Amino acid sequence: MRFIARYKKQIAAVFLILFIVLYNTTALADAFSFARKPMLFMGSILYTAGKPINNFFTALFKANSLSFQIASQQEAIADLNFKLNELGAGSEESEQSFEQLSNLFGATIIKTRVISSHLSAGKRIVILNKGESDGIKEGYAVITDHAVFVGKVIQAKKDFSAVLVVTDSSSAVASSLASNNNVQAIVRGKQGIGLEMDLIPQDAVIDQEYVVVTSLLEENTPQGLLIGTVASVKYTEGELFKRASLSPFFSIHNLSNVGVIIPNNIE
Amino acid sequence: MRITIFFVALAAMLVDFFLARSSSSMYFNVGFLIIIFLSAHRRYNDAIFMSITYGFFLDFLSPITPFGTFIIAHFVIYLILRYATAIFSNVSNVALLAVIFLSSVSYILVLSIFEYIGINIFTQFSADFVSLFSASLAFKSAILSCVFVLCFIVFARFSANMFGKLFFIK
Repeated sequence: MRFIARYKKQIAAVFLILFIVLYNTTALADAFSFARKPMLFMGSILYTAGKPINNFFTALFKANSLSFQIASQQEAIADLNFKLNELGAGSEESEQSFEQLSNLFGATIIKTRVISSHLSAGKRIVILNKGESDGIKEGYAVITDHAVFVGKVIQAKKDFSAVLVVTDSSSAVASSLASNNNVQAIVRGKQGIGLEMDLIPQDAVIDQEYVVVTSLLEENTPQGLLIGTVASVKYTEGELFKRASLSPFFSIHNLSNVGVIIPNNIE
Repeated sequence: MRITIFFVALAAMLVDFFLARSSSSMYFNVGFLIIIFLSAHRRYNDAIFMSITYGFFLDFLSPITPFGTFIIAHFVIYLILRYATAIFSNVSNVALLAVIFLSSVSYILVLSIFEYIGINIFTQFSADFVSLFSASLAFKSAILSCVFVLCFIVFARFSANMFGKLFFIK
């Protein structure tokens, strides 16, 4: 007893290190997973409450650029509405639910909720309230209910999963033009807010407002998920490929309900 | 008392992880400010318990970094603070704000170093230090911490005066 009292701190440190090692190497993490659910529940309430605060800071630091962005997006929305009316498509038809998307892509879609979005380990990620126990695995694609590609699951824990957002700098997705599937390229994230389409063949016809979608070459991802619209095309004579800046179809802070695509060919 | 610290660490983690980190403009580190506060008041046992518990909660929910990264990082931060607060124990309020500003920037830097080591050695992911540590983000967060502490000092003085007047305490 005297020994324990004398070396109390050292013993505590040894136990702590032992705990860390066991947590990472054994199934000890699963034993503690019961505590995660109430924490995630409380966290999701705080995250929802924090959105107005975040909007305040965004307005404080980015008000000027946002006003320009809003103006250009309003123009784009007006233009799209005009095109929709021309096509005769009603607003009800455009709101595809996850069930409809599931039938369309021939894959199961698990509906989940975003409980947090932040910069973790230098990566722009969103955390979903469902994980491995619901069938979610690493590499699965995440979409909105309008078939917009959000990103891919990079870590699936028992009760929650982390998604690397397509706009993160470390994200790279095989893509093609919606109007021409033969034009294959790579879409990379740009500083967590934008997108850049790279490796576009020189002979490819690409211009502003062309829609970019996911390619058949992207693993675990159906072809045709919306990624963004072309904002500008960069072309330097003598270079092998063209580059294009894209405007994404979603804002990370407006994400709430998303779906995880479970490919049917994977058990 | 330890149970209070436990719940304070839990609340601080929930605020920092879910509320403050949702912002892409800046971070706010309530947990770190509490560790500073406890260290400044020489409550070292509470400070070490707070730093380990806070680190544990962050590790528990952090999806990318390996478990233990934040516990060890916060323990190292506690050790630095323990000796730093001894040096800065008798400084003026203005100097205290400067100390908090530098500490906040250092905190984000130390955390980024540990995240960088943890991710690159123990996970299948890779991270470059530039994407982990953003100087502008660290400076903005440090300014926010200073504003928070300044408000806290002003509020504490105002409350103490009001309390003294109400209950005739000199």
